[in-house]
Order: sequence, then C-alpha cells, then structure tokens
Amino acid sequence: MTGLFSRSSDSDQQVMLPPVISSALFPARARFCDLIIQRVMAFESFRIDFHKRRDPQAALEGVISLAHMIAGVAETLGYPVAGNLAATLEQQSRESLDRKIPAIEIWHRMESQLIALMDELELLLDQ
Amino acid sequence: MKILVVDDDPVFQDILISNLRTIGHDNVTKAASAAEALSVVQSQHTAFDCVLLDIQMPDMDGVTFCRILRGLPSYKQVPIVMITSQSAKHYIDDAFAAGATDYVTKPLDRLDLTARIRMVERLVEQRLQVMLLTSQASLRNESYEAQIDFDSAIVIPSFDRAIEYLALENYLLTMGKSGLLSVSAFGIQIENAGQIFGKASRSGFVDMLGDVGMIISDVIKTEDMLISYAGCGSFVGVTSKELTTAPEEMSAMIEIGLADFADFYVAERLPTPKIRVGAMVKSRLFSTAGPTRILERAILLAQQGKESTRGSWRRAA
Repeated sequence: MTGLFSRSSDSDQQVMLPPVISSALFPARARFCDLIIQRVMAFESFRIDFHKRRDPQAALEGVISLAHMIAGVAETLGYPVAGNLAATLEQQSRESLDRKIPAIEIWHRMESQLIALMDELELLLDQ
Repeated sequence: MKILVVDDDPVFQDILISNLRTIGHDNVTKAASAAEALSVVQSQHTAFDCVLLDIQMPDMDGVTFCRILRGLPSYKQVPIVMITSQSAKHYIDDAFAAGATDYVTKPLDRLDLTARIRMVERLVEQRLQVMLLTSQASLRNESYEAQIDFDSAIVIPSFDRAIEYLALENYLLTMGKSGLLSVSAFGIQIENAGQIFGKASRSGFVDMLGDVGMIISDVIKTEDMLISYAGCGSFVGVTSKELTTAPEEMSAMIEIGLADFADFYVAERLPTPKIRVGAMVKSRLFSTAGPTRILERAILLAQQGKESTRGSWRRAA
C-alpha cells in the first residue's frame, strides 16, 4: 500500500512468538491484518472530518475507539510498536478529554502520533 | 464450562477464544455488543458459567451490562471477569461496584488469563457441588441450608449493596502498591453471630445476616465504598474516600435499625444481633504482606473490639 504520509518510524519489530501460540493465534493475526486497510482508511476519514471542521469531537472519539482496539491486540499478535503507539494515542487523548481540553486542541497535539500509528500499520501490510 | 465473551473487537474475540481453547475451553459463545449479549443470555435455557466482558464498548458499556446481568436471578453468582485496556482506578471501582468478580487488562497476558480462568473454574465447581448437595438434601427432605458453614463468605440474597468477598480481594489485588496506599478498610462484626448461628436454623441465620446487611446498606448509602460479607458474622468495607460517618456513630445507627427487629428476634427466641464497628486500617508503605492482608486486619480488629478513637476515622480516611 502506498503510504499516505511520510513514514516517521522504523519498521515494526515483529516479535517471534512461541510456535504453539503463534499457530493458535494465526486466525486472529490474519483478521488483524485484514482489518488494517479498513482501519487506516477510517483514521484517514476522521482526519478529513477534522480538517474540514466536521464535528472534531466525534472524529476524536472515533480515533480513540479504533486506537483502543489496536492497543488491545497488537502486542499480543507480535506487533509491539503498533500496540504501544495505539496505547499512547488512546491514553493521552482520553486524559486530555478528561481534563476538558477542547477536541481541536487535542487533535493538534495528537495528530503526529496518529500519523505514526498509521505509518506503522501500513508497514505491517508491506511485511 | 460454558463461557460468554462480550467484546466489540473481532480480533480480540479471536485472541481470547484461541487462548481459552489452549487451556481446554471450547464451549465459548461470542457477542459483539451488550445488546447482542443480552439477547444471547435471554435465549439460553441454562445460564453461562462465566462471562468475560469488555468494559469499553460503544452504546452500552460493560459496567452497565454487568449491572444488568447481576439483576437477573440466574446471573447473581455467575463469575463476571471484566476486560479492558484501561487500568484507571475509576473503571476498576465501577466494575467491582457493579458486581464484577475479577478484572484483567488488555493486552492479554496468557498466564494471567489462565490464572483467572482457573479461579473461575474453582468457583464454578464449588457452586456445582453446592447445587448437587442441595438437590440431594431436598430429595431427603432436608434443609438445603444445612450446607452453610459459619465461616462461609456467602452471598447474602437480600444484601444487594454487597459484592462477593472474593471480588473484594480481587479488587485489592488489581490496585498495585501505590493504589493500596489510598485505600482504607474497616470491619463490622456481629458480636453474637456464633451464638445466633448455634440457635437459629441456617435460613434463620442467613435472614439475620440479611437484616444486618440491609441496615448497613441504609447507614452507608451516601458513602462511596465496597462492602462484603466475609463469613463468621464479619462484614468488611473498603474505601478510598473520606467517610462522613464515624464508626461509633455507624455502630449506633445499625443498632437502632436492628431495634426495629427486636420483637421478631424475641418471638424466634433468638438474641438480637449486637454490632461492633472496628478501627480503620490502612496499608503500610513498607509492608511485605499481600494486598488482601488489610481485609484480614480490619476484620480482626472488629472481632477483637478494637474500635477507633474518636476523630481518628476521618484522619485515617
């Protein structure tokens, strides 16, 4: 897949899982990879919404929700960099929302983190 | 064991199901939302043995769904293990207050999940044994409550505010050292519980616990705390907030509430429960004892009659 943005990080260091676990997790890993394009496109769609000022709060919540899903599984599937990026994005965005920081400001702070995550996901596809 | 997995992420569902399979559990049903899970639960003839429930889901969150499940008679005692990537304390508090039995975090640690599922297996096995004994006893026309021991940390049917003692222990185990430092515990002892147990039928004893539980609920209704029955006539409460009611005041209020039941106890030829609220206990910074030690200390202090001195309550909290 052609990167939509310049790649900001090195290739995701895929962790070798023990053989038994690896084969047991194969369906989950395959599904995760199948969903990558869909998720990157969803992230991109939220970014467009934001830049066109179409409900930035909803766009931010959409990003958090997707990051939450990725953070919950990527490390287990052997993709710790993507997992950590998603977890940081989710956690920092939630904390900012809890502190009542306006969504637009959170976007400005978090967008580079989001782009880094999207880049990592695209790299996984290349692998 | 029949397990229900509720999570809106299909990838996480796959991981969970795969992990459950590797530890011998194939009978797993999945649902992608609380609404779907509710529909699945209602369509089943027999309840699931265990529910693994994601906290953060769109529409209805896992904590709300947990509360709904606990309202269903067949799910009052089913182990509910909450799963989430958020380890923020307020989620944990909400989950346990809603009736969760245990809590694990994402990303999933296989060993951690295995340990939690083994604990659930033991709980399910114990409950099956009680059900079996119950049916055997009823066949012999015996009271099923003959199975209740004095020291059993039973779930008191009419004490809705309480959570299982095991869940309270799990709550403390998830807090970590620094989290524990903000927590205080105190015991509420029925001084003459042993005497009542000896004189009452088992159902009479459980009813008495229900009376006390109901009054405790009323007394602590404005307090933000988790409370549980620990067996041997001991209740134990845990809070990270400052309490507004002092122990001696709490003790007096419970006694006043119980006075309304005095005629009933006289008629049943039973002693009226006498209540003692123990001193507030906090975790020690350099303590090497396990996180649940605070519960044991709180119960022990209430049993020994070591009440807090006036004013120390608010300082301790």
